[in-house]
Amino acid sequence: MKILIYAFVVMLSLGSCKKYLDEKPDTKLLLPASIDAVQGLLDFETTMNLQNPGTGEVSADNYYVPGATFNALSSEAVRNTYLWLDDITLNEYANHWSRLYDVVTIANVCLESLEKITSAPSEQAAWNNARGAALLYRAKSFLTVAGYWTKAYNTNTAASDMGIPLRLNSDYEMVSTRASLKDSYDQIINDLKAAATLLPDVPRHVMRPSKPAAFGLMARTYLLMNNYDSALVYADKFLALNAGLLNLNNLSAAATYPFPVYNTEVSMHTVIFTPSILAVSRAIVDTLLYRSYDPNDLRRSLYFKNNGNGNFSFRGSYNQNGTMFNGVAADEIYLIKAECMARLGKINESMATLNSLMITRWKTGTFIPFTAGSVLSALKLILNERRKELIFRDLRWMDLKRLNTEADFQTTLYRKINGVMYTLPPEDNRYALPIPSGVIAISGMTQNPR
Amino acid sequence: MKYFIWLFFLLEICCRGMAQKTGQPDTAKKLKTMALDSVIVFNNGYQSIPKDRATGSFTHIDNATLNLQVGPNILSRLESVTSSVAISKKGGGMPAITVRGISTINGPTAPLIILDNFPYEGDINAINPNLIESITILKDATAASIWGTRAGNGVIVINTKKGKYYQPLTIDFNSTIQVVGKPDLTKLHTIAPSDFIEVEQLLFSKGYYNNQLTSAAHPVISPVVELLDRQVRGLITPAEVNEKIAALRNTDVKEVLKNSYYSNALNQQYALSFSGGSAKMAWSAGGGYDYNLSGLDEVFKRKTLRFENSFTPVNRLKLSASVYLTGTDTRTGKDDYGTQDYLYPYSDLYNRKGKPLAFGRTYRQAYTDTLGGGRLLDWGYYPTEDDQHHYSTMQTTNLLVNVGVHYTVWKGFSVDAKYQSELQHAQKRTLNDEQSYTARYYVNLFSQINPVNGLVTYNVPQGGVLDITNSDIRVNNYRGQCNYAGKFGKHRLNALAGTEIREIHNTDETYRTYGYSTDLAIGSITDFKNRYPLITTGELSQIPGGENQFTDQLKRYVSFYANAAYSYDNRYTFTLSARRDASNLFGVATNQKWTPLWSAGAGWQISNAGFYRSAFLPYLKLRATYGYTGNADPSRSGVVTVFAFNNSSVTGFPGYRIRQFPNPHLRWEQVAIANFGIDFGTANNRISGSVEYYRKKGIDLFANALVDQTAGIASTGVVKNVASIRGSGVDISISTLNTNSAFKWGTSFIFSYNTDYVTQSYLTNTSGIFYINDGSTYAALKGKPVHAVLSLPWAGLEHNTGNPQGYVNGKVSTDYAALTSNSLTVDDLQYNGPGLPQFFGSISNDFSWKGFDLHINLSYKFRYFFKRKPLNYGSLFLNDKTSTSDFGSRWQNPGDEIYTDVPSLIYPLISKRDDFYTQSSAVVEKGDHIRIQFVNCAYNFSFKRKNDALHGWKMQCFVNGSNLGILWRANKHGLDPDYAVNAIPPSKAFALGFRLFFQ
Repeated sequence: MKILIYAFVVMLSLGSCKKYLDEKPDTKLLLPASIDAVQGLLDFETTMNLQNPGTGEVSADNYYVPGATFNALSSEAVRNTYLWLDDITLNEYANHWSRLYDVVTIANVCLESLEKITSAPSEQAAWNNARGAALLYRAKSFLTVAGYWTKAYNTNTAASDMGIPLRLNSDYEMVSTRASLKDSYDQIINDLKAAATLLPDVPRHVMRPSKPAAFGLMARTYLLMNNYDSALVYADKFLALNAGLLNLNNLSAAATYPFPVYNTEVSMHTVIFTPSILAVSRAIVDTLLYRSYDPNDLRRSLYFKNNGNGNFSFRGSYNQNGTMFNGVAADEIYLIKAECMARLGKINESMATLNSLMITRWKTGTFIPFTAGSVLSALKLILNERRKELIFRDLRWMDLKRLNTEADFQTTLYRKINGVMYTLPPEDNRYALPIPSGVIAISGMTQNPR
Repeated sequence: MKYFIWLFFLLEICCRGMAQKTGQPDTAKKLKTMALDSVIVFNNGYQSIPKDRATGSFTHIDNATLNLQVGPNILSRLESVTSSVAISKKGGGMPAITVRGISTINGPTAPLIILDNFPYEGDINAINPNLIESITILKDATAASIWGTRAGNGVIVINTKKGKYYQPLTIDFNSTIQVVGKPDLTKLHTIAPSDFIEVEQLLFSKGYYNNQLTSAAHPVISPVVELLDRQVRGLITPAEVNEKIAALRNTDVKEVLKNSYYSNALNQQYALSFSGGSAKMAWSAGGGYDYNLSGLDEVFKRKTLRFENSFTPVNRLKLSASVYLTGTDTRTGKDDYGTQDYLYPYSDLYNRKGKPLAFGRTYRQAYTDTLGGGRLLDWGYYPTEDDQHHYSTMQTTNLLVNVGVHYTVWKGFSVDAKYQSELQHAQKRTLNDEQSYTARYYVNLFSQINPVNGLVTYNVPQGGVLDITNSDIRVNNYRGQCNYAGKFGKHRLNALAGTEIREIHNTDETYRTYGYSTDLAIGSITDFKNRYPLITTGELSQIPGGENQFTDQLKRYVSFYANAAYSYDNRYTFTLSARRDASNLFGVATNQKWTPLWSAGAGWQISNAGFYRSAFLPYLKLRATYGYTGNADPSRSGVVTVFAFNNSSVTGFPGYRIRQFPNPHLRWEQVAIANFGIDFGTANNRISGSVEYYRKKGIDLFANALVDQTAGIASTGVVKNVASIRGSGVDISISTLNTNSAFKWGTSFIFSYNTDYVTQSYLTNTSGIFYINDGSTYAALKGKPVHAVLSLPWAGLEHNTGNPQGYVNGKVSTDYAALTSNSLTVDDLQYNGPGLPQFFGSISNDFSWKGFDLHINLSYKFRYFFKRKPLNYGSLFLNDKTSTSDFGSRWQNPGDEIYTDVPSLIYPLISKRDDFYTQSSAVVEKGDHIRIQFVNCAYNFSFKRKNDALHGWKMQCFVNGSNLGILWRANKHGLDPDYAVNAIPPSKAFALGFRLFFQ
């Protein structure tokens, strides 16, 4: 009876009704209205760090697959990517385009939410960290989009070249348009610059963005823009905070995957959501590339697994399994620094930088320091080591694109499948991958020419 | 049988004793009660409306009709015995039960289930059909709008058996034993063993398996490929291989399963109820027991207990209370065919000596046999034995407690207060004991063998794996209601107004224990945090299952409702009903929480009019209603919402995901319904029935808006109130009494017609390929039904190659990129027809002579389409072991295209060729069919003579047959369109039953 009286009282007192209905329907739900909630979105590494598409690596020349393996691949999109054909997107969620833009949108939701949060002085560090991280994730995604879907950066034409859609807010009603290539890269640089001022020197975990990660990405971006002065500045800023290198002599070749995850070189950990063709069981390392590693070069045994039939697979991921690492690590920054110095004419310094990395790669006591007599020979040495060190980091496609604009470093790619030879000459239109047709159909954006 | 006789006499003795004590009421009152009982009363959960004064569209299903079928689930007994209710067993996106078709595109499709006045939130299987008196279905707005935002899909009101005042002691007992035959797997259209072997041999010769055979992941290799590989490696002679493969060709896994795996299913039901009443009290008590054992040794047990009492201590006050307690127990059995991914079409389950064979499930057997040098546990999976070691049990306890007070304040004014509490606790335990495959797999996978001394370290503790999920539902309902009923001369007014508060709280939690010992009920501590190397690949991995899962959800509704009916001289009736609902649905702005829904109706009983004189049609009534019901989806929200996942296993930080992007204009869906009905009856009800025509309009329906993936919201999509649909239909039910002598023959015709089409949809000018559909999910294409079957136009097979052909710009083409291109528009698609039947119903004949009663029910469904399982070479190559037998009739030589539509086999695969064929109209089939729904044959004994020892008792024995088969079907492949493409249609089932009734 009591309960009935209570019921009547509740029903009749409409004033309490609003409160009664304000209870959340699911305890797990929340609004992104606090710094903690925003940080939680940025800390969901499955989306933010672990599902980068590896389309550039699939298109690049670090590996090949035999015809039988190729024919057995179920994904036509992956097969077409391998052969630089037109239809390279499965028209479904999630594909390489949506994976990158999902991160952009989460970053935008976070940035918008943070704008509305007035943080107490005690929370300022947390607020800064969240905003810096959101900016960095957005910039990193934009950089990958630019690396895949645009031509190489040329300072003279960048203002009129087609760039990428720059989505800077979470309004999904906004129609996507392509910014110029210059505006695209400027946006990336601006985001990273702003992120660097906000992020801490040392993150609580390398899944999280940090100041060195922002510097490293800026060095990478400026290098792709052929702006060697700035690339050098930021490479130095990175190394001032995160210069540690692994000594490969300390690693065990007996382990299935010798490189420890989250090792000292890593400043930000991200990986590729491995496309089927890049699985350890399928992708065979380019034979000439494998042979180019010196017998005393420890990477020859630590990077590669002998399949027993004269073939080698890659096992050197900084993720310590078959999934490829594509984050920011010190070895890349040493190589950026060395390249920029060489390009700026500082041959000796550039060789010193290269050697400080390489001595950790060679069997103790066997390393003979590299020397170069000219800028060109220095660059050749550095770019050769760059390719060997950064194999399967999803950097090669962007490097090919960038270096093909220079007569000294041009490469023509070949694939032979089912008796047909496919060729990709330098500066071919196909270096800017086709945007998914569904995206073009809805947005009306201009497709890359083939 | 002994059991029955015992029980029978026991009941007899105790009931007679009780009958004497309570005393029989006087005959006049008894007759009055009985007379009232025969009037059909519709119960909508808030009030009881006599049929004569109802204007809305109600269907009343009585106890006898519910007893015609013997299914253990109450809703399954509605199939084919009433108009407008369609039941689908297809699963997937098909709504399982619909009332008058579809009212929504993207919102919830299930009708609201009311059990004794309040919405029922528990497991529908917990309701024992043997304790149900009747069901009322509320179909139009006037009938249903009193349920407001949850009534958009119709309402099914279930009424349990209750005692009545002045009712003499009544005893009702029944028992049913049903036997369901083994499934006839040989009728399934799956690829023949020899065909499957042929494909494997071809792929092997092309090097297709090379990657798998050398893969460091050591995937499962089929027996045939293993043989071919051993031959290549010189481990076995070609002659031996040929001999072994020849033996495999002659083994059919479906025969093996039928003969030595499946058994007959046995379902038993027992129910007993007592009821009675005096001038001040009415009571009933009952209980039931069900025990079902499936052909795969799955167990379902249900125990129900129910007690209900109404008490009138003083004249104006009525108190009522009821308690309904249900316990169900289920236990899983063996794997069903089709879920057994380890079985090849040519697999056997036993070796020649009759010992169970082991299968590889994750890794190649040749690899696991030598891995670990004998120091590991067996890696084999034994399908015939594993169900003894791996099973889930589910125990559910559901308690419903209902109390109510009814007090007549003054003359026709009364107040009602009701409270109901529902508690359901369920515990699911999935046990993989020490000997189960799963436990052995995890223990092995995380074992480390010391290469020096051979000692094994077990990172997953040895023993079983136990997963436990506890879930609780707590529901509180409070209702306060004022009623008025008055009669002034020829005017009659009935009105009610009330308010209701409802709260549903769901919680559940799941956790896992390794090293579980069944004997001792103890588990082991497990390190879920650190990564350990897998013994197979050396990759580092965390031991799975370390993250306990929790759910905590709370839904609250506050509602106000009112309803009035005015009738004049029993001729004209007008009804008006209105309701407002509010809830705590997250993010919906407060001003949109309160959605008013209303309805109005009018009824005219012509036969009571002064001028009406018809000997032919003594009863005739016209009805018309219009109004709104609503459909709310608790998962939608108007603002951006974030969902908390578990803390990251890597970083330890909490990780959140965006669950919904902002959508500030979100509203509830509304369904407007106009209903016109005629009820009629000829003299002595020789022909009686009703014809109803309705139109409905769903507005503000939720639909997915298509957004460019660059917007970054493809993971959740965005849903808006942008769509609308229209529907219309006819429900006819006619009963005829063909002969009414010693031999009685009655027929009842049930016919439903329902169409719907989308009038507004956001997805208008986009790629046609998105709309291709087998009818199971909504296509939401303007001008087409919500569930439409759409496909790519088919131009047959090419003469020289057997390639499938379609049309590009009106020309026959094999350009598969163009044929499946995103630039196709919806105009390029072929609309095959609706995916849900537009005409359905049944014809049943009831013959009785002396004590015999024979009831035959035929059901039909017309005008709908489905897709048969197409031959997909891509999935066949990926080892689809239940690929279709169409492979056998594929194109092989020029000329074959005349009699087959199945494309030729090519290698390498062109996946777009598969995409085109599997989406083409070549695989669309007509669903039309007629089936024997059930046959029921009963013999009734009654003991009418006063001096009979069993005076007052009635007895009935019956035999019931169901799943008796399809009489006619439109498709030529022998497919049963009511079941999903791969499902095994149930076998014929026969039940033997016994009922006892005493009053």
